[in-house]
Amino acid sequence: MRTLLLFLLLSSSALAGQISPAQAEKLEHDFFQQQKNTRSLSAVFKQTVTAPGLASSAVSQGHLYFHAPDTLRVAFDEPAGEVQQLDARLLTTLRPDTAPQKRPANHPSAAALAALRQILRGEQPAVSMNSVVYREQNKYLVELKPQQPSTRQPQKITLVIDARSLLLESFSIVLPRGMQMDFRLSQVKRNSPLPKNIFQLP
Amino acid sequence: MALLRSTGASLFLAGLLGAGIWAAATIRFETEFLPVLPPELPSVRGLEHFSRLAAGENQVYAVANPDLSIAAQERAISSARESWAQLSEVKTVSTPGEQLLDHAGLLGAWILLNAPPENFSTSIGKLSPGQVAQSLTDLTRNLQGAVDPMELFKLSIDPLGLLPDADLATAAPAADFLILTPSLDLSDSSVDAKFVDALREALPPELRGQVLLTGRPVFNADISRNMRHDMLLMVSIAAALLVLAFWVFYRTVRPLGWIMFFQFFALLAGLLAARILFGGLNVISIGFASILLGVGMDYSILVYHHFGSPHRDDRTVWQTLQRAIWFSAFVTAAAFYVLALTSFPALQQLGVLVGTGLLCSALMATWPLRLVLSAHPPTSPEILFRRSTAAANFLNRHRRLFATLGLILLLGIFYLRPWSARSGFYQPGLDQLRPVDTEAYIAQEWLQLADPSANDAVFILQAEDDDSLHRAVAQISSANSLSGNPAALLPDEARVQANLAAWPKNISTQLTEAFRNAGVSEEWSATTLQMASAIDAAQRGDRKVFAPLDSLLQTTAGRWNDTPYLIVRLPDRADAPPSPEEIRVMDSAVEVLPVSWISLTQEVTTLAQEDFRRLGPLMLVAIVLLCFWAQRSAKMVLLNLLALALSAALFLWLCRLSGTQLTPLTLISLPLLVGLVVDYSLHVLMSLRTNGGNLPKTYEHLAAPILLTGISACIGFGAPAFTGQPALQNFGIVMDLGIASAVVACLVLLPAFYRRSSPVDYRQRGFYRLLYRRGGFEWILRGWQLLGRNGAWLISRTLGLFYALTHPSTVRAVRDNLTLLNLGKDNFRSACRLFMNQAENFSTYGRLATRPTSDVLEMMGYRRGFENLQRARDAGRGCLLITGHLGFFELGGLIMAQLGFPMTALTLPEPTTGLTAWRAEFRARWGVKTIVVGNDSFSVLDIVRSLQSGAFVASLADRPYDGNSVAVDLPHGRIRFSTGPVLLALLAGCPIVPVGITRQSNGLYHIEALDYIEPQWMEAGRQETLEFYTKKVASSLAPLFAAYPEQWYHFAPLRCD
Repeated sequence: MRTLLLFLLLSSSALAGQISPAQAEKLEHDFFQQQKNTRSLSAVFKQTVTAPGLASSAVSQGHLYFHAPDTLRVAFDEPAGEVQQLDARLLTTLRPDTAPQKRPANHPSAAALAALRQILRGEQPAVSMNSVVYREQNKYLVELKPQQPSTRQPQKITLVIDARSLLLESFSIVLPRGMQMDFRLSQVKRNSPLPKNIFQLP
Repeated sequence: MALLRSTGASLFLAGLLGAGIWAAATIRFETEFLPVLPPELPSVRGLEHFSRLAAGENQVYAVANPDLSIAAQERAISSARESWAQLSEVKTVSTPGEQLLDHAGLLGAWILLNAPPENFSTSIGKLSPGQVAQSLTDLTRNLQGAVDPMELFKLSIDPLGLLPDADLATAAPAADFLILTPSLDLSDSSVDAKFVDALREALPPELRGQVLLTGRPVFNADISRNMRHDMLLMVSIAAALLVLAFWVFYRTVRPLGWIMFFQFFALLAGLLAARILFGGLNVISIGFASILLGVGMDYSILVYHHFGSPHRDDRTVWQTLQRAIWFSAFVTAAAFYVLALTSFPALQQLGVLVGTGLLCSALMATWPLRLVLSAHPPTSPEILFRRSTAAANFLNRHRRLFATLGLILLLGIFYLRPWSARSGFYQPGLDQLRPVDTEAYIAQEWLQLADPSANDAVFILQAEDDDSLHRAVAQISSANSLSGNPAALLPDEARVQANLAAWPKNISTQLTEAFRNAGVSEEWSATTLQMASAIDAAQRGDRKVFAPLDSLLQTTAGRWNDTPYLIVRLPDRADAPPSPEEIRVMDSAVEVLPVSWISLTQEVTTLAQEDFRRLGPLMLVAIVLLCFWAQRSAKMVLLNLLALALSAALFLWLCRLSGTQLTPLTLISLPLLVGLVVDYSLHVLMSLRTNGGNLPKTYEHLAAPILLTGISACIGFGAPAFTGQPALQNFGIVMDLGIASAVVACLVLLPAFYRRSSPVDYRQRGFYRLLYRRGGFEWILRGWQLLGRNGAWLISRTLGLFYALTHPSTVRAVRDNLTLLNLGKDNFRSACRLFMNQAENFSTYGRLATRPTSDVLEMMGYRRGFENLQRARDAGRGCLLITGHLGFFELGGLIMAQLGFPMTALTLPEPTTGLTAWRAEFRARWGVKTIVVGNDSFSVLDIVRSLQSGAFVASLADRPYDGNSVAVDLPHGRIRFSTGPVLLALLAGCPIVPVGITRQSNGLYHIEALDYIEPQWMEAGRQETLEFYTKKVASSLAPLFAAYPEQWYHFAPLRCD
């Protein structure tokens, strides 16, 4: 929570033109309120993984579904059939031709999804982060770096938020050794009905 | 000069000085904290092993202030690194991240080689050219789809998927900090300090305080320096305050120089004991210096006060003081020595050192200091005595008030409820025992914050064989849902040999070619190629290839003194680590050692409480016995215990008011306070008793010295509060509160409970009144029948000893009576023998009662002077047999009756008519008549008539029952003898024969008729006649009394000088 407050304060000060504390507080309030009021969210996403030393990037795409407060599903159209679903207690990974893999929700493999879910909830990230906020045109760019970097945690998370709607547009995660994952969201629907049985697992 | 004149004292001091200098020069300062705790505790061993494994022996760690921003931390670390890399003392500077990534391939090779051969075969299958080409082609596709940071990380270092299920993150290090390896051999604390100083000096000034160092060399350097500084500081402060206190009391510090001089020797004695017995001092036992200075001063101050007082030439006063000092030293030293039985090595050391030092202090005070002060006696200010008397008078006037206050304090214990866990008196944490103010400790905490596994509960598993560890890890992983396989890093030589044999030749060359052909650069190939090269090298027999992994592997798995070990981490359980039992290792051959301060706190608390329960009663028993030994009085021992209770109550109130809490260390230190309370209360009570409860007189002797010694002890114990050791600070405060409580309780409250009592006649005491009656004698007879001769002998002598131990005033009377006969018999042992002999006499009634009357003759040994008796019988007149309370005088009458003498016994009325009648009946069985002497003239007429009719009348003269007596001489004093028997002889016109019957070592009784005296009225007058003949009888009997002083039974003071 403290990090998020800091983030909001800093983000307000990073806007072109000075943002007063009152404005920062309003921004904070609005952002929180909007995130807390998000009961469901669906979006189309495009995921790009870039790795130093590899000539090409790995591009994937699919649909993202969130149902507050716990359930987040990332279903890939390409590669088809791959799904990651995080709920209150488990991270479930489905891959074609392999048995479903279930891990505790606090497993390091769930770190990226857990970070995304907390952003959607409007909660602070699980790991204490220092944040730097920029404003580019109609977007806020929030860079989060863990206070204590380690080989187990992302080195940096960048969120791109629409300045008017305060909706998440994209985010990127830089993993140790420079590998970067970018997620760009489109067709974002907030508090719209989700497809029936979308969170059904085998 | 006074010292030099005493050869013994000079030689002793010279020897001690030489030995002390040797000890000081060679003693070792042990800086680590964990060795002060019991080594058998699992957490102590776990933390010790882990600190050595994790920190290495010689590496130093540099960490940036975590409050700085990440960027600032990175800049600080980078800048510091540049500075240190140029130092000649530094061999290498690296970060753990570099170490892991630099050696990730080696680590993979290690895991592969130590994997089961079937897993290794699977990995080899992935190294065929076709498989390798396919894996590299699929590399980008593998990055598609579900995002799993752990899988991506693994893929980046193992793109061919060679590694089994082992998780390289198991060995993943913490965030960036610097590891500095010295180029020096860090062999001792001075070299450690030199290395650490060089590092600190090289640090840019702006980074000082922002980048800190930690690790064994830093702890060693910092704590060694702090310990030397603390010791100097403690001694200096204590000495300065003592000088001030001494001057306030005595207006001079000159004699204090001598006192400090001799205390220095006591310190040397403690140091010598530490050097010989333990080889060194640790962070706790170093506190002995101030404790000794504070407590040991007591004795010197008492001696000084004595020689500064008007009583300095009174040998008796000096002997009393000397005795009290040694009793106090023994009791206090015993209290400290009991600490040698604790489970805590530091307290064991502390107890032995202080105990030894205290005894040496007592020796110094009563020997060399006495020599010095007696040669040049000081003069104490008169005001000291006036104030003492005034204070005593004030206390006397308000005796009831102080007694009431004491009772309220005692009752207050029920309000404070110290026995309740919620009372807040006890703080079980060990935080105070850590050197929190040292840079090394702060840096260690920063390092812990930087460690991503800081929230993990860590355990070291040890077993005799690898298989047990593998099984244990499987159990733990299953029971605690652990990811990864910590056992993957466990070395297994058999597997290594089998896997090396299966490894294809020169595989690294083929792989290099394959990566190049696939266009995959070294970011992805480096680890795999390093792994293949390492296995190639190992196959060629080069085992040193894995040497760079040593520091990485040792925090995960390895061998410790040839015993395999494994480190297991349970994520996010650091705040509530499970006990070794709770992590469910079923195999009893696997030892589980927690690496946790929380576990350590729990274990130490449990052990400290056990020690307290175990040593508390032992301490109490020791104190009761030693107090009894010192005072020989149950009442005085009870007063000692009352002083303890009052001190405890006051101490608890002071703790509550000041917010002071006891820690595991101070909880165990309470016995020290108990020893001090007993020390003070012994002085006060012994003095009160010596002075007959006269408080002003007691205060004149003791108030100033006890107050000053209390202050000096507070100074001694309070000095550690100025050190950087929180443990010693808390110890000092607790002890100060305890000492203040002891002084107030013993000097102010205790006298209010001491009742001035005039000596009570032994015949008024319960024991006498209960047993010296008809029923008591009948019990003797029954006891004899039941127990037989030996049993009765044992029981009776035991009862006699018990009586002596429980009737100190009667013992004092007996001892004084003994000195009338023999000055060398003025001791407790002779008095006890007398009581036991008398008890045996009583038991002999049982023997006489159970055997035929004629058997009494078998008890007779030689008889001497019977011609005097025969002469009286031949004269046809009666005879007055006069004796004292010597031997079993009752038996004499019975024997003589059996020998044909017509015996009559004169007795005073017994305490009860029943007993008088019983004893008369008892004598009658042997034909001995009894005449009870009353205050009427009829009994006198009876006696005269009996004598004139030829009776032999036995009478005791050494305990006159009325005013008709005369003072007679004994070898070392005068007592009163009754003139009644002589008067009877004069009235009856019969001779007097002084007689005595004494028990010999062979159990027989000798009878001696000492003289034949025919009294005649003298012209000088009636009184002169009575005095003359009474003295003549006494002069006959006195040598016999003197020959058998322990059979001369008088229990009330006889001396009439």
